[in-house]
Amino acid sequence: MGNVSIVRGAIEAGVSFASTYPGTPASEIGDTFAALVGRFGWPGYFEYSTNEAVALEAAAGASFAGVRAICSMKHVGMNVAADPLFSLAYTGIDGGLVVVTADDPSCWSSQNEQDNRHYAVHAGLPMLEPSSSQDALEMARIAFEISEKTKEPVLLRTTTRIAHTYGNVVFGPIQDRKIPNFERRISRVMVPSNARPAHLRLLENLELAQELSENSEFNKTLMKDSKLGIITSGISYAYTLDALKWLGINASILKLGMSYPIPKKMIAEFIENVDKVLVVEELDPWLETQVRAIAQVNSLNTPIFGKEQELLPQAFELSTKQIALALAKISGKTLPIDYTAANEKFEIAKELLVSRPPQLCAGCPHRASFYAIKQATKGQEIIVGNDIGCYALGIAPPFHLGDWLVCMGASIGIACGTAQVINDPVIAVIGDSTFFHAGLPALINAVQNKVKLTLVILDNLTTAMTGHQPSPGSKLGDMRETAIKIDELVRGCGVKNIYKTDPYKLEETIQIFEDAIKQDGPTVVIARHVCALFLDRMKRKKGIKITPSRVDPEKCEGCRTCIDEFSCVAFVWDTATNQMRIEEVLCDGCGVCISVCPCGAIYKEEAK
Amino acid sequence: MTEEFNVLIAGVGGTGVLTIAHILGSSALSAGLRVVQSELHGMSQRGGSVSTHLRMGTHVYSPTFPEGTGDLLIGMEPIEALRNIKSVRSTGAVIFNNYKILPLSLSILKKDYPSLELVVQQMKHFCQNVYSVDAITLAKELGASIVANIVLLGAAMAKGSIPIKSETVIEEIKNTVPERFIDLNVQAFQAGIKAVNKL
Repeated sequence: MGNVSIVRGAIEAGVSFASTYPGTPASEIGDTFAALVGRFGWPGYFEYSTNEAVALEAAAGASFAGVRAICSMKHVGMNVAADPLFSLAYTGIDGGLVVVTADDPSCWSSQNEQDNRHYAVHAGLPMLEPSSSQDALEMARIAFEISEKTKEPVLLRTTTRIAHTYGNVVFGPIQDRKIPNFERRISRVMVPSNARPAHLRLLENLELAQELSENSEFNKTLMKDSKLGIITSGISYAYTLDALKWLGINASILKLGMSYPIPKKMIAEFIENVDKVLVVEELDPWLETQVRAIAQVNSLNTPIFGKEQELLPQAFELSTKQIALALAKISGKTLPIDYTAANEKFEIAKELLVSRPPQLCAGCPHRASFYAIKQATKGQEIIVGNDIGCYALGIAPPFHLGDWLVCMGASIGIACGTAQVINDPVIAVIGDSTFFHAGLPALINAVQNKVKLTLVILDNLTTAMTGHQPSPGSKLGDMRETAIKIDELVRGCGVKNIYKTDPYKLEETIQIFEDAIKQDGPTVVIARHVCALFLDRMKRKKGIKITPSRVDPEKCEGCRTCIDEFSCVAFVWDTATNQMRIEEVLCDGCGVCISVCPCGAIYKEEAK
Repeated sequence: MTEEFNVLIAGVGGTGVLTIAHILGSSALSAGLRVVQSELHGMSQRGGSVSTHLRMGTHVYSPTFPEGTGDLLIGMEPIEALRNIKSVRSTGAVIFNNYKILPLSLSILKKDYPSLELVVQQMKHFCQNVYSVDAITLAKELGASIVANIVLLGAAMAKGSIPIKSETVIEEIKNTVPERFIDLNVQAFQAGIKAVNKL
């Protein structure tokens, strides 16, 4: 996997320190380091940090102390880490510092598909973009050298299809880790008088980076037919190779692995040697704009094609097919497959396809919490801010709990504004890990400004969505020795009304929400129950049998309360009998639906 | 050596799609082929439709392949197989588990799941070699419905023209599953081969 290859590359480079905040598609980088420490006794240091800014600061601290450090995050995590990132470009680094940003074109598991290549230009940092798992390994290794040569952090930018793609890799030798040595240096202290020369230093470092890029082993020209030249980078390179093979086109290719600073001389030479150029890249015309500028500076009139002519889209992932279509247009060829005919043939099949969107798992404690919120607020207009995590699925029917979902912590932050303007009850729902990550400052804001809002902390004792990494409030997972108590933390922030409940106890939880919403000032409900998926996996590992709940057909009156109001994925409506049944393959046996059923028809075998 | 062999494995999150993709991918590696396998994590994994592209051969580069160029579609569930039917070429093969996992949206809308006959009929507009496998029943006969994916993998090995030997895949199964489950999984694999050879 690309993510695992990055870890291997870092280990080969003798990395000593790794930090992260988990986020798809970067999560397995941290998880692999965690496994190295926990299971294989790797002598380096790894932490799941509280958020990406802290993760980057910690990695920079290790770099200042002379060792090599790596910090990984998803693309939007870079926004959180941007504050230290921009100034670290000024302070410079000591031990090589590599910052991995894993972008998510097509928003497979993200709130946006921002193109983080812009950060390289914006902060002024060298950037590498792998096109395969092997590239990921080698670039991670070499990134540390580039970082130390230029004295700047280096960005390693992947996308979902690099991060989560498995491929062949060849390992290299492992270098020794560096001996820590903290050199005191006033130039790291960014007061204005030091910041001004630091900016000039950064520009000098970038000049050196420019030279490295012109001579980089990762920037390669493959001259074939000079009629068409393609400039590409990252995953787009792989799609391009397949598209050229598919159409039988023999174009020349310039593959950019070190894409910032862009190798200007190399590009000018390539443009000069071909009749026309196609720039192939995902998302923004980031390369294309620079290529056009290089052509202009060098007075080259070679036609340049790309997003400007709308040959390639600016949104979502690219594919072999899209690139083939662009190539077909500029080369006069046609695709080997008639897609219009295939789509017509698919019309009837399409009617049969029932959608299957992601769902809260069977047994998920969030479903119980959402059900309780709905029951407690029946007939009332409420406004609900949702947040980043599995519980975002609460926006779907039947709960519809989510009037906004913006970024980590924004459930509370935005609620602070809405609740000061609107009289309806305002509720913010946030998971435990997200609360620690970015919710805390917003809660303090709510206390300070006497905001009348109900904050529901859905504490499932883990960071579930990204693969059950530990959360600061829990000892689950193999690394934490202390758990921060959320109720004490919230009390320490000055919240007066604090409720604690186990959402599996529905009646009690509904009563608590009824009370909580009536309170004045910020009120916090901590709904705590361990993630069902986590627990089920543990049970399976240990061979503990899961006893599914069942429906007694004698008692089920087909009222559909369970399906319409609780909507567990294990529920099946039998159209022949007009009754409900439970799919035993999916049921996790949580038994919460037993108290949802007004007919008393749901039971568990062992209890009967 | 095979230049390019494209497989799409589709199903419902949590039903073993990635497990068989990993076994097949590692087998291809052992067989000395280049492998590219792409998957999605996070939000897209929670009980919804999932699919993974697995490519093997001497000339495979990108993580996904265009519709109509797939050599094999393995469907862990009928509707999910049909959803991805455009991926496979007319001379390819479709092997699917005929056990229906009813999406909640059907129950909410009080709608029926389409008949298997209709699903297969639609599949055949795209590909003639369609094999419906009762993988859950076979897995239950062996004692655990959870190995239905391995049953299906066996069926795919028998009828999917995968450029790897069955023995190589069995070795990979042994490397992948916990020791106490090796026999169960190998039996499941062989039950899958037998089941489609009878068809």
